[in-house]
Parts: sequence; C-alpha cells; structure tokens
Amino acid sequence: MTVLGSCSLGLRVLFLISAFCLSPMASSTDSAYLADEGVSLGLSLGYGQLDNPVYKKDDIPLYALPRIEVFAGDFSFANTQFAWTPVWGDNYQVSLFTQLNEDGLYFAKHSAALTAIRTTGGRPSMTPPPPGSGIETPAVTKRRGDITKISKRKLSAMSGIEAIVDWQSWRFSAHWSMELTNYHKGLQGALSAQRLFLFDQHLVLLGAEIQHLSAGLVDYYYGSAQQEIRAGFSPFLGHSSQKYSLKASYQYQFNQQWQFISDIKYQRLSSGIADSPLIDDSNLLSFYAGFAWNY
Amino acid sequence: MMLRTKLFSLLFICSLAFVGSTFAQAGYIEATPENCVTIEQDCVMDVSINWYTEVSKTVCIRVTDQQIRLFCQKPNQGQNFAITVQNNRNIVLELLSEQLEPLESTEISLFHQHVKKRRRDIAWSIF
Repeated sequence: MTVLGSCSLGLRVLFLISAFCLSPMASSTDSAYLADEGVSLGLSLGYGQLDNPVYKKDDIPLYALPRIEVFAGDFSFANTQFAWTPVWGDNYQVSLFTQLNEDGLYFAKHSAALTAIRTTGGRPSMTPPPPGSGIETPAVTKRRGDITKISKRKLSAMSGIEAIVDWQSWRFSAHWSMELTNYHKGLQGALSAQRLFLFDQHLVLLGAEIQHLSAGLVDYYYGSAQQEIRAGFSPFLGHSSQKYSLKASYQYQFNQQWQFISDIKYQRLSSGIADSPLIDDSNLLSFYAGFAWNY
Repeated sequence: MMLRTKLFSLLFICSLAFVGSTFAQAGYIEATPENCVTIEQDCVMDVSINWYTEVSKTVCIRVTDQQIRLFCQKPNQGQNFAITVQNNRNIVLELLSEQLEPLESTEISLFHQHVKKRRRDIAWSIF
C-alpha cells in the first residue's frame, strides 16, 4: 500500500497540492518578476471595470490601458508608481515607494483625472465633529442624500516602505505607507501573498491581500460630517478598517510584442468602511481582459 | 580489373597528398576566451592568443578593437600572448605574414547582457 493510498482524500489532495507547489518545474517563475533595464512602453485595448463602492458613483470603465515603465539602476517608475530599491538580493528586496491611493479614484472624475487631481492642495471641510456636538456614528441605518453636494475628496499620494520576499513561486510582501499630499494624514499597510504558475506561454497568478487603513484615511474618504449631513447623509465617523482582496491574473504571450492579459479582483470592505452612508456596496468585483502590445 | 585498381590507388595517393598539403599549409590563430558577455557599453577583458603558421617564419598579429594594433616580429608559433581588448562590437584578431598578407583570422564575439531588474509586480498587473 502506498503512502497516498493509506491517506484520506483530504490528505491526498493536500499531498498533491504540496508536491505541485514544491515541484522543481515551478522554479523558473522568477522571470515574470524581472524587467529589463531601460524604458518599456505598452498599450492594451480591452474591456473591464473598477467596481466603485460609492453611492451613485459609476463604476470606472477600463477600455485602454497604457504601460509606461522605466527601470534605471535602483530606481523604477511603473505608470504612477515610483520606487527606489536600495536593498535587494536574489530573493528579496526592500523599496521606498510612492503611489496614488486607490480610494481617491472612487471620487475622482473618471478617465484621465489621475494626475490632474493630486496637484490641487487643501483639505475639505470634513474635520470630525467636536465632542458633544451631538453627531454620533449611526448604528444600523444609512440615510442618503445628494452625492454631488458632498465635500470634494482629493486623490492622495502615499509614500512608504515595502519588503518583498520570493520563495520558489511564491511572493510575500508587506508595505506601510503614509500620506504625502497632506489631505488626510492617513496611514496604510498591507500584507499579501501571491503564487505564480508558468506553463509555456501561459501565466497564472493567484493572490490574497489584507489592507489596513487608518482612521484618518477612512474618515477623509468615507466619513460623513457637516457638509454631507447638509447634503442629506446620515453622520458617520470613519474608523480604522480593513480591505480583504482575492486576485487572479491570466496572461498568454503570443510573441515578444503581443499578449492577452486579464485580471479579476474581489474585494471585501470591513464594517469600518462599509457602514458609511457613502458606501453602497461592500463587496467589489473588478475585472479587465484585453490584448496588450509591448514596445 | 587491374587498371581499375591502379586508378583507385593513384586517386587515393593524390587525395592523401592534397589533404597533406592542405594541412601543411594550414595555420591558426585562436583567442581565449572566445566570447565576451557584458552589461556595459564596452567589453573590456584580457585575452590570451595562440597562433601557428608555416607560411612565414615571423608574423604579425593585428588586433582590431577600438583601434587597430599591430604586433610584428612574432615567431610563426606563439602561445599565451596576452593583451587587453576593449570594444563595443566583435573584436577581430588576424594573423598576417611579414608582408601583412592575411593568413588566418578569428573573432571574439561580444554579447550585451541586459540587466534584469526585480519588479514590484508582474507586468500588466491591473488591480
């Protein structure tokens, strides 16, 4: 009787998964995380959308995606993400990075608003109410009003440190960042794990992530204070919260220049965000599929 | 039958003579290492050159990298002649007679290794 034969079905499945995960064939997956030094450009046309959880705000459509990447020495720029990697080895790296906060995207004018919005300064009049003002966090019900009359939420930039460790075909990362643009002085951290599969020209990536957002960040984007109450929304004071994400990517490389790309991401917002009257949906599903051309 | 055997023998002897004369005339020039892999614009490395010829008692060696260098008054057989080369393309080494007639040549192939940088995420990761 073989070892597998004496095991229960569950254990057998676990054995098979472990054997598959630890198999030597998976050792070549590192290349997907490597890029050539220099400038790399690309354009993808396809269809997708970024699910927008904000009440009466449209999902953000994705039809054309550019890819602008520059790798020069220890510095890199990938679309809107800038990173400096002073510490790195064969299977680890530590980077300082700057990137846009995704929560700001939900309130931005869609399409090309990314870069325009972050340059405007100031902080919206959304400071938490003083003690004893009578504004308290509602228990259950949400009252909603005119979303167009809430105070403006600006797209913020976050800057922080990230550590990445690669082990076989797994990638584990942790990052912590603070706001750079001084709109909400918020903090954000994340832990993630990814598993990469490469078969000939096929690439499959499965990942999970847990994000932690500070109270300041949550309150800036999802809090409901004087202006929101005047617009008809029930009051809400944002607390530190979590976002839980599951992600899957599939890519097929036709040749050096052309490839099929697809991404799908499920995200669940914890109650610290989901209970906001500005939030319409705490379960988000974003996706994109298209053809990409690389120069 | 006899005539055919003689013809064969004659042909065989002629072939041997031809092959022999070819080898006798042959010379060579070889460089070690034969390839240069670099991440820089230029390849810079120390090369060891071996050569042999019967055509001439003394020879010249011409090295074409960033410049053209000529090393003359060399014996017709040499080993481990060391020089430093530098170029951004293949490097040519030629064995010349005293009258600077090309006898043999070889090339050091240059390969540019593109530096790979570690990414924060795979390319085309959307979300």
